[in-house]
Amino acid sequence: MNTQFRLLYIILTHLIFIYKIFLKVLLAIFIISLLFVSCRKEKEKEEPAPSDNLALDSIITTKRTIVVWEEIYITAYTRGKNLSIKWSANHGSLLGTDSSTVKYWGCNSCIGLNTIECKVSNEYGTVSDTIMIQVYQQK
Amino acid sequence: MRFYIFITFTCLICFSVFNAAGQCCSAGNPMGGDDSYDGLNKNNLRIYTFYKNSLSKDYYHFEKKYDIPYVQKSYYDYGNLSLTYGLFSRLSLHTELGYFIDKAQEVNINKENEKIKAKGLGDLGLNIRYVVIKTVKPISQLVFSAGIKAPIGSFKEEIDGVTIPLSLQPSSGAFKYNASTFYFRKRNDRKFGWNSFIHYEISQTIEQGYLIYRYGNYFQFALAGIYTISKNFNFIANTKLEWREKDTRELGIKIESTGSRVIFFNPQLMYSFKSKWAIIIMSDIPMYKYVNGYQLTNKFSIQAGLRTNFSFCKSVQ
Repeated sequence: MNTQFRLLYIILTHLIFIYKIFLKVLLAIFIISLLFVSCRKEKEKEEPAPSDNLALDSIITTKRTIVVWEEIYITAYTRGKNLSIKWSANHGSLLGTDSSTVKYWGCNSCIGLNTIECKVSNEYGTVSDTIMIQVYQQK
Repeated sequence: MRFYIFITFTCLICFSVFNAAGQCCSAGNPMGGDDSYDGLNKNNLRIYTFYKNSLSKDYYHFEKKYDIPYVQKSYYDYGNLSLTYGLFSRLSLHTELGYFIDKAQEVNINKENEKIKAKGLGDLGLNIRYVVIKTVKPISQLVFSAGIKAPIGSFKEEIDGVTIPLSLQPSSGAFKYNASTFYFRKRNDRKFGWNSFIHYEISQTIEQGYLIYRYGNYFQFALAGIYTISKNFNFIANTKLEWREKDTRELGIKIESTGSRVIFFNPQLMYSFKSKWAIIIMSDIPMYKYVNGYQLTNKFSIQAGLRTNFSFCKSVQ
């Protein structure tokens, strides 16, 4: 009987020992992963912010509400080098005046709230923004 | 003499510009063709190519001309090639593809003249035609057909980085499905014959970026009288009614200034030579138009084409 208890005691002692080692390993993994994540964040911080090389800060228009055939100018304020600027409208006509400014007007079939999108891209990627123009029927 | 008749009719068709309205410039292919919607015999091939010029100038409000000084004119020059092949004795396949040499609009806003212009491939049309009734005496044919138009052409045309408006894009940007019925009848001993054509087309919704757009359903009914002037000359006086429903944009909002009902007079002159070849000249002259809201309307269009037939049947000796 004593022998059996001793055997059980030895087994339990070993199990507790293994469990302690397991906990220490888990703790070590947790600390290493924390360090790894924090190191990665440090590395990300070292990279330059995207806006330094490519940014579309704002789209400005002379008027947000117009009547049919009224012409307005829309300008995109951008940062970066070798920029390619693309303009599109879901309804209405656009005509480029220079690379960052376009003329916009709407015909009778363009009445409504229309979306004008500007996409700016270079070797760092593409950024885009929109502006909404309301076109009303001329009285 | 026949040559002079041909020239006279050609001039009449070309220059008969009435003070009426028609269909404005719109995205995708124009409804063209040689008004031959018939089925072909087995192993027969028909090739037809045409050039079309269309000018839109006047603004209309409902039935009346409305003075809007901003749009000066809108026009296109379009080339098309179509092939029709008799797959079986009653079943034919038809395909067509066109190219816009230019599709342009000239506007005057704030006293500045601007021109927006595009060019490129239009939509690819595919049709299957089934001859339901075919008789020899009198010559008659009843054809049912169904088809699809695929927007394989240019739909992202731009000028200096600026995408041009939807109505000036060479391709419609949407799949369109159509069904039509064509009936032709002519007695062998008579110079007169007639045909009728009914066509219905529905469009899928375009969903590209911020553009959500659906063209209104389109219906056409045409009734034509055919007069054989001589062995080689045929004159066709065709009248077309075109009914287009309003287009819709996002959230199913109907666009007020779209959709129309137009009646066209469509005279055609056909000169056949060397048994397999034909020159076809026609014009679309709008006689009556009712437009929803305010729309730019068509002044006239003219079309000239060349058609030929080939037979791949083995000749019996």
